[in-house]
Amino acid sequence: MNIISKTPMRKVVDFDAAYCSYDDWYATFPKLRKESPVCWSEAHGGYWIVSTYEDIQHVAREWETFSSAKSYDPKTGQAEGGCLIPVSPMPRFIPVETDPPDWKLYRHIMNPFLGPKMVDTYRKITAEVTTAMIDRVIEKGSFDITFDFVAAVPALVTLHVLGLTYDPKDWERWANPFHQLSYLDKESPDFAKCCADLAWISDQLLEQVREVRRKPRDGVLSTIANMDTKEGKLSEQDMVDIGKMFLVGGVGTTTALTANVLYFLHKDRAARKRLHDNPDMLPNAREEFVRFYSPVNSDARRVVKETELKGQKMYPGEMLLLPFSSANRDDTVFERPDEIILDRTPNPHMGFGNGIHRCAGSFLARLFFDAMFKEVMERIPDYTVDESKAERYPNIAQVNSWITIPATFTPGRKVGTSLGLDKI
Amino acid sequence: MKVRIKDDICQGHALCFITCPEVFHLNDDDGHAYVKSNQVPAGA
Repeated sequence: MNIISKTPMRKVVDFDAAYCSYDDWYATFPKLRKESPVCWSEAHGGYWIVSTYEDIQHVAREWETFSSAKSYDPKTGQAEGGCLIPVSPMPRFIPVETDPPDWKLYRHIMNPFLGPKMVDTYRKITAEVTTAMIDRVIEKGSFDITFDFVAAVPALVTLHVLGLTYDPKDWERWANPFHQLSYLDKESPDFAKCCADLAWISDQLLEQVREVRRKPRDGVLSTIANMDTKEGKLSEQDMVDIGKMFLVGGVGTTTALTANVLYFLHKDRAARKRLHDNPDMLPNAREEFVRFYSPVNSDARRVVKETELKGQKMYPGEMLLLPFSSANRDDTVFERPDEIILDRTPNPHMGFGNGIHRCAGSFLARLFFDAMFKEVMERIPDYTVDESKAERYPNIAQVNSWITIPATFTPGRKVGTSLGLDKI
Repeated sequence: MKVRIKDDICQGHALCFITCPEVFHLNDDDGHAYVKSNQVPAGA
């Protein structure tokens, strides 16, 4: 077999989009969209990059050609497919790393917990946790926007909604490995530590799945664990993989969105004043922030059927990077795509993905974001970021977020909640 | 105008419900949308 003859016209770029800083990402993708909209990177064993709105939508919708399914053998550590490049040596996340028909079974199980009606019932706990996290810091007049607030709130609410038994002081242990999973170099020693921390979470989940099957309790985990599906009860491994999915979806994404927005509103005081004075602008502005910052920056697929895109031939087994953020900056769809236009409408962004794997938690994300945003506007509207100490993820390829954003504000008074969380 | 949902194609993202809650409703069991009446009211 002659590999070279298989790929005579392949457009190769010297660019690793799967491990990439914020500056490189946003400097390179406009060029790719214009000059090499479908191209091949040699990094991490090689993968395709598509970059226009049209192609990203096509790939996301054609799941029979571009598969999300992942296989992993815990004995050998061999893994194939899934939504991360390079392929990560760990069990799949359910349902994002499955294809139909499995996908349909899992989404039918998970959707009801994330639909608009159900999400409405999480409003009160979200408001309480949000208030408590500002209570924790308000008398001090300083906090880390990332650690103390936008990472803490989604993590604590997600753990509560899942119905896990956990010590609130330990919330970081349940959240941080998922943040790290997205930005660490997957060939670095730190990544091995991250995998061990994720294994701890899986062990905890397994133990709790067994507990709730012995003694059912409130919460999503117990309800799903005791549910009779068409296939009977889900396996313990499925339950752990679903639990991990709720956690990774809950803790990582809204953190990224809210961190970016609060940094932007530090820089642009006029926008902050406009949003503060016109709360009705929030729904449109929020969607614009999702478009502009694309918290889940990219996803991946594996080609499972020979196909062709813009003259580039793709073969089964090849990985493909699906950068939703590039679709969101495509100037054939969005006017002035590199500007934040607070009242942009219509706004057909792909910030929640597209196709069958479109974010199941988008209603929850909106709830989390709105709660945190309003709390800041009401209680610490004059916050200022210490730009010299603020630090983005070194790699924003998967999630476009921040490691730290230290900020100060005029101290205020605690409001008090029934949760006691302001003491953690 | 009339609307209907093809159950075999619906992916359960609830976007129809957000766009037009007067017409589309969500099934509490699986989160998928259904229409109560396929007639779209004027102005909806």
